[in-house]
Amino acid sequence: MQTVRIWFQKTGSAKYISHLDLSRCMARALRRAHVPAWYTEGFSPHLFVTFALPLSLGQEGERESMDIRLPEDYPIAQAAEALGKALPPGLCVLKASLPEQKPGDISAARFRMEFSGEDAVQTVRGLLERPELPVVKKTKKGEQQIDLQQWFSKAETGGDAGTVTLRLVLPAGSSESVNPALFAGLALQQSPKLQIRIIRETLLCQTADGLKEFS
Amino acid sequence: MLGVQKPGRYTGGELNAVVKNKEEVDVRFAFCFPDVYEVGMSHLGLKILYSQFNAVPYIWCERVFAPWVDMEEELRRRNIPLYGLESGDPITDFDFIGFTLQYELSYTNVLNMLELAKIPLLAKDRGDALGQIVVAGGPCVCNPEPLCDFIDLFFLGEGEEVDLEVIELYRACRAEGVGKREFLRRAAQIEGVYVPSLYRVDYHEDGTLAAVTPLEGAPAIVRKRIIKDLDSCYYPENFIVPYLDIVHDRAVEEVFRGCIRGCRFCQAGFIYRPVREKSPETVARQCAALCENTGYDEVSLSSLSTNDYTALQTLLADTKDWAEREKISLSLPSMRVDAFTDELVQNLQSLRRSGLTFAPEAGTQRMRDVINKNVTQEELLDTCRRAFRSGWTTVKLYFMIGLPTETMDDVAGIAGLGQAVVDAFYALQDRPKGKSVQVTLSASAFVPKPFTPFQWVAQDTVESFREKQRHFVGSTHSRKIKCNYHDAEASVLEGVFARGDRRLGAVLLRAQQSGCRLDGWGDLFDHERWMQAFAGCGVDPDFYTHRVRSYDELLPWDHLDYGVSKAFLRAEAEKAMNAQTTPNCREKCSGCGAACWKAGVCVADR
Repeated sequence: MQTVRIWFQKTGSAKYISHLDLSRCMARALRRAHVPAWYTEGFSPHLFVTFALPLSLGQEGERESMDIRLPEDYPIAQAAEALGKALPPGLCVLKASLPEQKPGDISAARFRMEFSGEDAVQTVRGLLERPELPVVKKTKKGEQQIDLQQWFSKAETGGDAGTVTLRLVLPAGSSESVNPALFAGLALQQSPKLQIRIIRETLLCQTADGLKEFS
Repeated sequence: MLGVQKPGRYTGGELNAVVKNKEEVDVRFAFCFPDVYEVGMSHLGLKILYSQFNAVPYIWCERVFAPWVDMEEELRRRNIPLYGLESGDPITDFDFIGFTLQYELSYTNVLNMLELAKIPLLAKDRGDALGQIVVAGGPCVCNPEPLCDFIDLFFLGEGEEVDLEVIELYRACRAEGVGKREFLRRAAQIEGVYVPSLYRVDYHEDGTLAAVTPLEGAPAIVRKRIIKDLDSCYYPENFIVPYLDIVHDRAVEEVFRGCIRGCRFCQAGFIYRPVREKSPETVARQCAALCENTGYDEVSLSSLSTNDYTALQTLLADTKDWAEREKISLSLPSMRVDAFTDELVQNLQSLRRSGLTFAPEAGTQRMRDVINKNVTQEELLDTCRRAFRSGWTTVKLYFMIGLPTETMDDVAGIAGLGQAVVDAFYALQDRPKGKSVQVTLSASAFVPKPFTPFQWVAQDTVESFREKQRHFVGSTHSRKIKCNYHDAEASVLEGVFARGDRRLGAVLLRAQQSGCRLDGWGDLFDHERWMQAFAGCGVDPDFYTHRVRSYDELLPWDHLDYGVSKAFLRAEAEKAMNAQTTPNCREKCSGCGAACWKAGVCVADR
């Protein structure tokens, strides 16, 4: 058996599939695809699957990963192709590869946030110009006050008429994590009718040469 | 959408959901399940009809569920009409708006969904244009009278054939350019179709029914439809596979319809007669196709009292290799106390995972004889001993409180039976070591239903139920026993609508308008508000529940024919009062009337 990393996208209405539901959905798709993924051998056997970093409900992902275990003689490209055909709309397989890093090495993620609606430009610019963006982050240990400004001040901005797109890197992973939904929350407080898409473009690892794409 | 809990309930787009081009279909059917997504998606009838309708090229069937309160608030606040999950189009665009009526406490959801769809609630306000035909099917249609103000047409019995006949008629009527009224008049001529607006109802001064008169050529008696041969009947090879964890998240294979037992409280046991089985070959083939297409690793064999499937052992033996190879487990949700054999335990992997559940239904032998539940205490204890020896330590037992002729001793008998199970555990030499036993006794409140031998009896009052519930709990003396019981107020309301008549339509409307919905969800049930609706309409709920009906009273469902004769039900009622039992359909035909279809067990060799 070897661990195989499947890369996939989760877009459109698939953003409403929660993390738990996603793993059930993948397990069923693997069965339909007849991919011989490894099952645990305990009292109640279940598919062995690890998602690198769960995506928040309502956010899309363009380069997500999940690890499964496959027999060494099973061609990994075939796993990718067969699974891809068995997945429902909104989930699409990019490729399969052998893992280079561990999910625990992930330290950041690059996000794209797309704002549209009447006051989109004004609202987002207004927030970015503030000297501080204090928000309350809820964690298992309780509430914590953080300032989003340190990351959002470095965001690249773009967008067409009436829309704003922000691209930025936020801490993500087991040690520290900042959810872009916190910024979306501030924007919605200002302008409740805003439409906001949050897309996680890729996952990043800290290396000696700086941030590098998780692979 | 992110402001609501479980947005996956409202997005559609699941695997195997059917999306068609609306320009290329003739008839759009909104299959409305009047409860939330997780409940509705578990319903086999929806799966069957959804697939069957969509297999017809000119029909597009979509799903609609009752939104949970948070989503309802969003829809109302944003003025978004209720929509079909597949297309996102408003329900007003559909030709048929079809509800399945599974239990009485979902009636307000039917009204609420129509309101959210911006469709006039009352059938008479919906005009004569052919479209937005509001139809309903399902078990509660055996007494649909409380919903007659709101529904244009009811389907009686099994829908596979009659639904398509009505859709076909609708196409013909549209081609011809006739209106809704004429369409309904013609539909009433199809067997299994009940058009309530074509019947005039008169009452006596004492409030009982005087006459139900058919109008405009509608049949005096409407007879349910059945599928005689299940092997050749449509069955889906594919289910929608939801993302959310729904109530029954597995493949379901129906093995037979009907039930041979004739338990006297059980409506399903009478209205689904006669018993018709699928062959084990068909069952095995359909199980394999379902698992292949859905990726489910569990198939549940579905029917009433599944142990009565005559080919069960053959089926389990035949599917064993396949199930092991594909890592698929078979489960048997409906199991009788007297059928728990060692062989079955070995073959049903899933049994090992979950706790054991049996339904003795009553605590004393006399009471079980009254309800014709032919199970003895010794059989139950034997089964429990066998289960304990195989390693189980938890048993759940289902009972009813408020059965006809019940005394306080019968109520205490429930606790007594629980104690006997606990004692049986400790008396066993080879019981699981180092473990304690846990027996859960769950007592629901009995609701008399139409088309059962108990359709004439008085239901217990809320006070009487509560007194009995206290006695039940007070009669248990062991920490190994846990007692549960149902809310009596909701059960009495269910009783009102189960045997209600058309005058309840006004109450239903008033209750819904004052905010009642999702009444089956304990914490949302507002008894006070319901009582205000009854008072506001001048309707006495006790008339429907706490009154003993005489055998010659005209009952609101007497013009509907489910095959089982009133004479048979009356004979059963009289036997019940004397605690006499009736053998099951395979032992001896009791002449219920369902043999008129010449199908299934009625024509099988006994």
